[in-house]
Amino acid sequence: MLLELIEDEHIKETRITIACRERDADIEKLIAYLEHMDDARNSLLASAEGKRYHLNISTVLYIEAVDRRTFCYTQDHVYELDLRLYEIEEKYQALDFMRISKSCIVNLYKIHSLKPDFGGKILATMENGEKLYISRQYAPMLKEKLGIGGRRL
Amino acid sequence: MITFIKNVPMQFARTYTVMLVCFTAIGCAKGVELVPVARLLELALLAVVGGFLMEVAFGRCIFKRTAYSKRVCVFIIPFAAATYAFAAGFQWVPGMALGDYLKLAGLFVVCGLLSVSLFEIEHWVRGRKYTGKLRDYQNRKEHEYDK
Repeated sequence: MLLELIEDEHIKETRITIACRERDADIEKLIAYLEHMDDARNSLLASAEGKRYHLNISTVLYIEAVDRRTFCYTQDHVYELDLRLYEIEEKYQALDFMRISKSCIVNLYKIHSLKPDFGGKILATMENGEKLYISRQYAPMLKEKLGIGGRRL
Repeated sequence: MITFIKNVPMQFARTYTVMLVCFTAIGCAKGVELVPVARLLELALLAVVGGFLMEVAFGRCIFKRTAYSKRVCVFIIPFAAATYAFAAGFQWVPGMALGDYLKLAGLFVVCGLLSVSLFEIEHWVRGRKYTGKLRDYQNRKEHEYDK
């Protein structure tokens, strides 16, 4: 088996191409491993009511730290996570999870609407109707990410 | 300090705009057709004081991590005193009897409610802009992942 690795800083997303004579058992194993790796990257290990779950990260609305425990909220359920908030922030920043306060990280794709609030805060209404406050400290970062100009000094 | 000085004109403009809207609304209700230029200048002077107090209370140069309710107190109490001083000094309320004090207090509350309403409208308009930018961001990212 020949392995060819191309490193190019202009490439935005990693692409793996398998060139083979036929799709045999070894190729099937390789494909299964790569698909599992991709699923693992976009999944979150969580627990609720004594059971363990692999959550698809795209279903998570926001993640909150309460009393030294980390909880993630989907449309209808709440799960507890093993990871700390800063670990989640580091791991899933590329998937548009953004810190909005000292104890909360939000999925930007699950925000339905935004509204400025008194005191420099921004009120985010999530897809399920829940309202979260983006604190004064983190509001400028959100504005920068969305390309909203006119930063207040 | 430079940031503070740079922000005061914007705060003056906001305060003066709100004051003029309130003043016009009250004037229309009382059937006032003409406003003397002198009164506009007096309001502008009060707006300078208001703009300065706005930046002190709600800017981040002096109070960095203060609760919003405390900031409102830092602004509203001296501004109320300044408004009364201007009203007395420029004879906005002739005679200044007890009833006139109450009228002035009532006017201040009405103006305060009007200004809060105006800020709410401004926040609503900006909210629509922010939500539009959010949609653009979400759609842009989806297209990037499709490539």
